[in-house]
Amino acid sequence: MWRRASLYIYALVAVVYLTLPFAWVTAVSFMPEREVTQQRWWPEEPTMGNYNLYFQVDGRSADVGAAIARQFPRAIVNSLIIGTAVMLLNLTCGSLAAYALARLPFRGNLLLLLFYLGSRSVPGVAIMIPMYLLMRSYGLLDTHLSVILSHTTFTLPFTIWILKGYFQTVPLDLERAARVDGCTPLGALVRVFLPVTTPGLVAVGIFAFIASWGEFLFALLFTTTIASRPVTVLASDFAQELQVPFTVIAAGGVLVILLPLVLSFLFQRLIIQGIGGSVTG
Amino acid sequence: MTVLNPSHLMSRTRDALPLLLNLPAVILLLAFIAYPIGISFWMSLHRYNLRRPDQVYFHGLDNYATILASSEFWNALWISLYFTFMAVLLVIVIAMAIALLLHESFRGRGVVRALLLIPWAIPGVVNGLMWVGLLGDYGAFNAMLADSVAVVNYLFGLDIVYTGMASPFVALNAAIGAHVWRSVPFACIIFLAAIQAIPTEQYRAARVDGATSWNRFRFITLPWLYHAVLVVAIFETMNGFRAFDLIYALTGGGPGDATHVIAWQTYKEAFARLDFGGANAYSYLITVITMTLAVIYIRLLYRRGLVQG
Amino acid sequence: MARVRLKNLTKHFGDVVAVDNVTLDIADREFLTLLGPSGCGKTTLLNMIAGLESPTAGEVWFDDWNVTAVPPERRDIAMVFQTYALYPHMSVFDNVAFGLKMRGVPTEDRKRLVLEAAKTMEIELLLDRKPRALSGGQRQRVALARAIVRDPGVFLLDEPLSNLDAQLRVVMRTELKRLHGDLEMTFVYVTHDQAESLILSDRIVVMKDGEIQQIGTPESIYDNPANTFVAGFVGSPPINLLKGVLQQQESAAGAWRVVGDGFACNVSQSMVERIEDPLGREVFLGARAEDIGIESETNPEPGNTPVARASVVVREPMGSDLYLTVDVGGSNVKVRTRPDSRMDRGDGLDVFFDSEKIHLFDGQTGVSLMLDR
Repeated sequence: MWRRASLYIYALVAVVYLTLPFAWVTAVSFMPEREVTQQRWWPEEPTMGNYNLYFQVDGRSADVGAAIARQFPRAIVNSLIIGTAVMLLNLTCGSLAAYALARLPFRGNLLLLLFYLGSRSVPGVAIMIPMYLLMRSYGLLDTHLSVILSHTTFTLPFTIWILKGYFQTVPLDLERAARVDGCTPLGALVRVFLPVTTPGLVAVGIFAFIASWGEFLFALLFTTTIASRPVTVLASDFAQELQVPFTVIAAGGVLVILLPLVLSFLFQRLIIQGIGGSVTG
Repeated sequence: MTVLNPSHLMSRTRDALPLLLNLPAVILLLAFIAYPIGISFWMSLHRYNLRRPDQVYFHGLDNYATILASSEFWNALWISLYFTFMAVLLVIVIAMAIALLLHESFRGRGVVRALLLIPWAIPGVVNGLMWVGLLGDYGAFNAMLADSVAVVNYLFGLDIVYTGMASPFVALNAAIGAHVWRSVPFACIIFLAAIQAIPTEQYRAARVDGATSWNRFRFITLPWLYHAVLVVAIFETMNGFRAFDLIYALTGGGPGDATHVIAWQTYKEAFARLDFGGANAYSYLITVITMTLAVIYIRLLYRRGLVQG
Repeated sequence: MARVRLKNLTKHFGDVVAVDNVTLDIADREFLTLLGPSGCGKTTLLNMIAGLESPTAGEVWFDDWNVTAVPPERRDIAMVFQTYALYPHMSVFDNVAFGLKMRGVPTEDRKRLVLEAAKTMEIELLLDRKPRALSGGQRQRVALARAIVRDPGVFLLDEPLSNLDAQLRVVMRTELKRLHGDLEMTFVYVTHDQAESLILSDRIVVMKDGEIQQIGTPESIYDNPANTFVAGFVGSPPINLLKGVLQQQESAAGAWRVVGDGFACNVSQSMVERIEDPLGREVFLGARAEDIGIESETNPEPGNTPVARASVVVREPMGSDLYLTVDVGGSNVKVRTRPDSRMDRGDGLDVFFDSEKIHLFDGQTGVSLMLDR
């Protein structure tokens, strides 16, 4: 009985820790500006006003920061394009490499693994200048492609690592059975292996998407206009505008978080099993 | 009739296919990680300031000498080391605590598990902005901190003046707190998977042997989690040293140089001073430090025989 | 329908020789079992027949077709795996139909054939389920249905019963034998369970360390094991082996005996005649538990002297039989006797060997001295 009670208190503390910061910001995003200054926890007179700015519902363009806020929908589209491309590139390049590492014994596989692990340990700031110059020399600055390529390279090693672990949990006999049943090696891959590993692929894909959605440094470096700027950069631009009320920043933050949050809720089980299982397995 | 021995053909193609499958990934990583790293090193040996584009010349290790002699570098390094050490420690402790909780069965566990991913889903820069609000003048946490300082002052008769994020101490530790908060879910997922992989018979056997719950944690759970703890430590060390977006949004390096972590210092060197040579030398030093730490961790993993090739 | 011929088949994994120069002729519609302990190369051999492993050297022929370089999908085979390997993302129906679909069988025929196979394996009611909703025995049936539905020439089974519990294994064993009777297919069956091999097979191939130890019918392998390994591996409980030396008795002219620690066993003249240089030769004397008698139950024929004086170490009643482990000169010997025997731990008794049914093996190589040279 006592044990039960302490378990629930423990759980409550964990829930508060995990949610309170975000909950507060969400609450603030519905507050009129004056309520924030009163250090409230809950909006007394909830308003959608802070969000309206982003979608020009009442078109008060005189508001501070309105020019940037109006770019929000476009920035979200940019982030979607970049994130989706990064996800697809991760899945194709990652699953091919991981399949080879998990299934086909070959000379140099250890070397490749170390290469991937080494790539993962290179910090972004260490390559930002050469990357910037590289993108500039190819004329890729302020394009989606530059951000897509950089995001893909820093998510790919992790993707390969996770997928390799995940693929190794699939019994080899399944593909053998498919071969005996009349599939070519490629047929066994497409008809049996890929469907069976879909949960892992989805987990890794979502992971790459969210990582790309949240990445900031390269997005900040490579993009200069709304033609390619993703939401994270826009959100920080916005916050650096003087005199933008925090309630409006909070609303923007909530808008940025919304999609990754929904994705992580929807695919929660897959992500937890896919990532956890293959890192430790 | 001579029969071609098929295994002969196979052995030649056997290595080709897996290498071919790895090719796209390898090309991408070579082009956008290995090559830039090489360029980065080459540039670090040059005097290369964008303000004087006509004066680009090779000057060996001069950039490194300048950096190693500068107090800015050592300040940034110490701040990063402190930041990373505290972050790794706190992430491991908090993530472990939550993972152990999620391993228990109780009603509402699914809810806690679903909420676990919230901090992880929040982009680093938005996380920074969020904590700006929380710790800013009107922030909810700021009020709580101020109140608790007042209580401490009252209880112990102290005279601490709470200045919020204007205080270097508060700013740095707040940045660590915000960084940790966002890093906990990932570590927790790994710990949870590791805990769930522990055979329950081990606990039954320990119970039969009369082990207390602390001893069961100490002698069964922890040894089984050794691998997972190391994996988390590797990830978090890397993340700690590359912490940038949070600093960018939360403190902008300030107040003063209190939160000049090394990634921030590098960024400033490059894009505020436009000293590409110096910035590359900086970034090279970060790479060397993180790689060294990674190698140490990986050696630890190998020594325990926990990594299979 | 197919006759399978393996010619000098060899498989190396790096430095390890998994299968060493195996030549084997499997008749059409035969039930052939590859029997041996784990790591003996039996599964590798099966995989080479299936085309899942390519041999380092040698050839595989189906009738007059050299399939050595033919990939598995183009060989006329079906296979049942130890882990069943049911496709988890497909229903039972789709699992069974998959092979037909891959071979371009039209939908209507597919449906009919799947239903037929399902009926044979009694899984008609499970067709809509996913594999994870099935019990171990049901999965086994689905795996068998998936294999038989295609009516392959060669049916390969890799330890199909080893993941089932003991009772179900007995049921499925019978099922397999019925299946082989009903279907006109060549069965190649891999197992480490000697009882399964004796019950099911037309012929057994006993393997060890990648090499064939003996090929023969269950009876011949049981009655005339080629060496001590086969003798010890086939039969339960394992054959009793005692080390001794061949001697000629001085008193009764010409009579031969094997003499070892604590025992002396007569050997018939006809047996000795098969052995080169019998005098003083070191041998292993093999006797199965059912070929050993004890004093109280058997009436020794006149002149038949006991092989040894022994004492009971362990008494193991098995319902229909009683097994006694007795100590003969420091070695344990297992004896089968009638379940109503009152013999128990510590009792002394005389042990008799049926001199017609004992086996003699070379003391060094373990090779049988009884087979025709």
